Amino acid sequence: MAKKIIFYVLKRLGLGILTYLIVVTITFWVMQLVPGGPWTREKALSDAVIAALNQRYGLDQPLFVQYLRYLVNAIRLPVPDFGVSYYYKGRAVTDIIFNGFKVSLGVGAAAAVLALVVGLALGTYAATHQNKFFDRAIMVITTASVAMPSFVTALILLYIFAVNLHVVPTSPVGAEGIGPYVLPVIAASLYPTAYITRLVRSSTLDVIGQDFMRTAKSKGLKPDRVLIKHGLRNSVTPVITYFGPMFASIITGSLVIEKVYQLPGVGREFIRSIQNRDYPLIMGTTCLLALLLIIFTLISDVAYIIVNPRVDFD
Amino acid sequence: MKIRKNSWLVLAGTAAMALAACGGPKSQSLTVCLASEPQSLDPALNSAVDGATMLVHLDSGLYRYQKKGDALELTLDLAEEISKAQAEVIDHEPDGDGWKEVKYPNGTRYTVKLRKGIKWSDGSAITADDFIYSWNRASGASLGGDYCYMFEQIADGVAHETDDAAYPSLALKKVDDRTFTFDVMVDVPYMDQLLAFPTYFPVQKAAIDANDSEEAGTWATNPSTFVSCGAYKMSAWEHNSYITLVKNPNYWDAKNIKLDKITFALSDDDNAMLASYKSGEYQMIDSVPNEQIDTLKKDFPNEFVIAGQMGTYYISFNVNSTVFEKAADEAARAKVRRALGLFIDREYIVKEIGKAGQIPANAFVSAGLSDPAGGEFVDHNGKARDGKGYYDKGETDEAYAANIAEAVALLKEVGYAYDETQKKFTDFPAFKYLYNTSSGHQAIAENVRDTLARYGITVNLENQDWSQFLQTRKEGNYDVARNGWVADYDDPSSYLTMWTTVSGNNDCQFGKGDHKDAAVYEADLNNNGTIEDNEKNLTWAQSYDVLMNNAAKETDPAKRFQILHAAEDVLMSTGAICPIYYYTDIYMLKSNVEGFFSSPLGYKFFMYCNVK
Repeated sequence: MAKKIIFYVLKRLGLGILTYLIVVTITFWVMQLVPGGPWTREKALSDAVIAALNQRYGLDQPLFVQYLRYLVNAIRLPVPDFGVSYYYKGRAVTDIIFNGFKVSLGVGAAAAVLALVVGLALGTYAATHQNKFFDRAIMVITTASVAMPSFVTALILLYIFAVNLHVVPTSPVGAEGIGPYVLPVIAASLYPTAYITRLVRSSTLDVIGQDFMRTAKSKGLKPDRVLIKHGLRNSVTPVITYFGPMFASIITGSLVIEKVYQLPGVGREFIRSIQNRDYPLIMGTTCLLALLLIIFTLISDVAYIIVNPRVDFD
Repeated sequence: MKIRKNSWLVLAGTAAMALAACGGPKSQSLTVCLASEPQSLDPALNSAVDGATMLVHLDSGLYRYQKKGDALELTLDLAEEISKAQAEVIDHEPDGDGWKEVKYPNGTRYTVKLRKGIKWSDGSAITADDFIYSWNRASGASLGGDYCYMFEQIADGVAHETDDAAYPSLALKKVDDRTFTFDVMVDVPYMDQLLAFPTYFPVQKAAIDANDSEEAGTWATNPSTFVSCGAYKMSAWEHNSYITLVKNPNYWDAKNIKLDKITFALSDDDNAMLASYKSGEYQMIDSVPNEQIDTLKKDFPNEFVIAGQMGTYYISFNVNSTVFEKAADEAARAKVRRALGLFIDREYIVKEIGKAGQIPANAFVSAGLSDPAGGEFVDHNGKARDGKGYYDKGETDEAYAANIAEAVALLKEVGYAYDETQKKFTDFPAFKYLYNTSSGHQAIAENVRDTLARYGITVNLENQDWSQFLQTRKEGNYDVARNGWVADYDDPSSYLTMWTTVSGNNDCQFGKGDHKDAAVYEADLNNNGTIEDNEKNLTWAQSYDVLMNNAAKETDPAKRFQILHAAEDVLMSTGAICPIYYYTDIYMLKSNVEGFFSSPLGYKFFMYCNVK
């Protein structure tokens, strides 16, 4: 069994690396095809300046040489190195990404934990109180949260708590402290919370009716203990599958949330780097997003088979 | 019980802090939002207006802007005295692989004496060497600064004086620690403006040597390595969030700097800026959502400000485009372009689309630029030099109708068929109007399309993202495109130089391709101001290029402006520049902030602000 898991993980790891290399390759060549370049300005740069810049960043070399250089830097361990930004003078790409990423990661992790805790609690509660008032209420609210686009909920929260009640600042732009991050965390967690609640509710309902649960209960175990020890382990399986990609997508840029609250996250850098034709930053952000998605999907898949031994490895 | 004890401690601490805050004069601070994360705060690498605003607070040059009454004036900053004298100036121009000397017998030598005891924010002395180092660094192509051309007026020294043999250094000479000289070939009237321009600000060599070994500008990305020489120093930079400046006690004029702390919030989202302004987090914002302008004017009559700006929004035509195929030669094409320009309803665009008090334009050089003859350059523009421009702005219905009538007549003259009953052209070719993706540009493009459609002219709109758009326009791969220009300094040359054949900003492609041989221009090459003896049948190189070259050499301000007006005559005769409006600068400022001012270049000055 353990052998099988290790083999599976290695296989997935290999596929992950291959995917990453493909992403690096496609990004590089597509970037070259896009018209406009890093030195296009409304007030044109002189030929001498453009030549100096091209030479400094190696853009005067053949494309294939540039590609190989990117490739080598992209697989450098422990952290890929994409050089310096062409747009933000004097700043390393890894530094820019790290700066944005720590915000995205902070907000994303907080939102994911919030979603997980609240979702599990609400979902289990709703399942054990099926068709009672709170179950119905939870279902209505979660349906609304899943259906409503995040820019609407984010704006509503912003309007009520920041613009009108002044409980928190509208955004961390120009404001210090963690106050401005409260609303983004809540806004980013709404959809996954609702989704997890519904997942947990239905899978718990499923589990409650199973034979082993009845056996446990008939053996005299307390209902709460049965639910937590035997029920939760089973009802949480779909959540784990969902959690990995959800976590990756929250932190790699819930672009809408970042935009509404003006979060200095990595999502906006991604968009801006493309607008500015900032080649190193485009490569950096794309590769980082790809890496994260690959890693989190991998982790979630592995967690899934550990929790649910029935999974077939093929 | 334990908890209670702690809470008493907390209360006592809070009370102590509150008392401390009350004691002494209230610290003055502002939070403002101009734009998003600046590209660079290295004065030599910055080219943005928001970056320049931060730099006029962080650093200082030989001159600075101050408000006197309602006017802005340039006063000496780090310099104690700047004197000039006529001198033979030697410049170096590229000559094959080397450089050749060019002598200017009527050049000017500036002598700069710095103030005594001026210091960097780290306490070390600012000397003549700092200026010599900084100017050579900023002007060198190898640094790759957008604004390295701002030093073009200063004579070059010889190549081998610099580290970088490929480019000559400037002819700067140190006299003593506080004194240096520089030479200009022609003493341009805007020289003191240049000396107040951020690209001319000194930077500290030690800070650069310590941090920039790998990449230029690194020293300016972090408060711990940022050494400044102005009214403020950087105390924090949370990237994409805020930059905080606190008073620099080492600034020579620190006693007159009123505001203790400025926080620049970094955002370019109009809606978010407005929300933060309304909630009181920001005291000043530099842009607002266009669709909100009417409401804001009404709701905040004392806080919504429309200030003048030196900039022109215009449509440029590619002179080599053959889309108007019936117009066989350049003269006919000029008629077609002029006609299309006359159709434009500037009044509607300004009032209903721009909404920010923009001024309908009737010439290329914007309002706001001064003229040595008194008033503004635009007061003397147009062929008659009466300030009426090159066509009527069409502000009244009658005037606009007259413009339309002229436009129709011109197109008929070229040979396009006009259906008199329908009042429409029937065979005018459809053409593409290119603009960069933005709701404001789109609204104007749609208005142009709809206006021309009324006369049977089909315009197809196409938009491209900014970088691609710039490339398309510069390479001349377009027929008609949206365009805009904002002056770098208060002088018409900042506008007119861009249309010389060799200019990198010559989007209309004047003097290039087929247009090179079109000998259809007439120009006042004798510079006697009378149109009658204008030389005729000149090419672009023989007319416009010559005029601009003459203007660059002319030392008499009145004559120089005559030449610049004559150059604008030639430019506007092409019809390829179709001005729409002169830009304005809109911002919002809380009414309890006093002492704020802005310059027509768009710089904002907060250092003398008093928050009541």
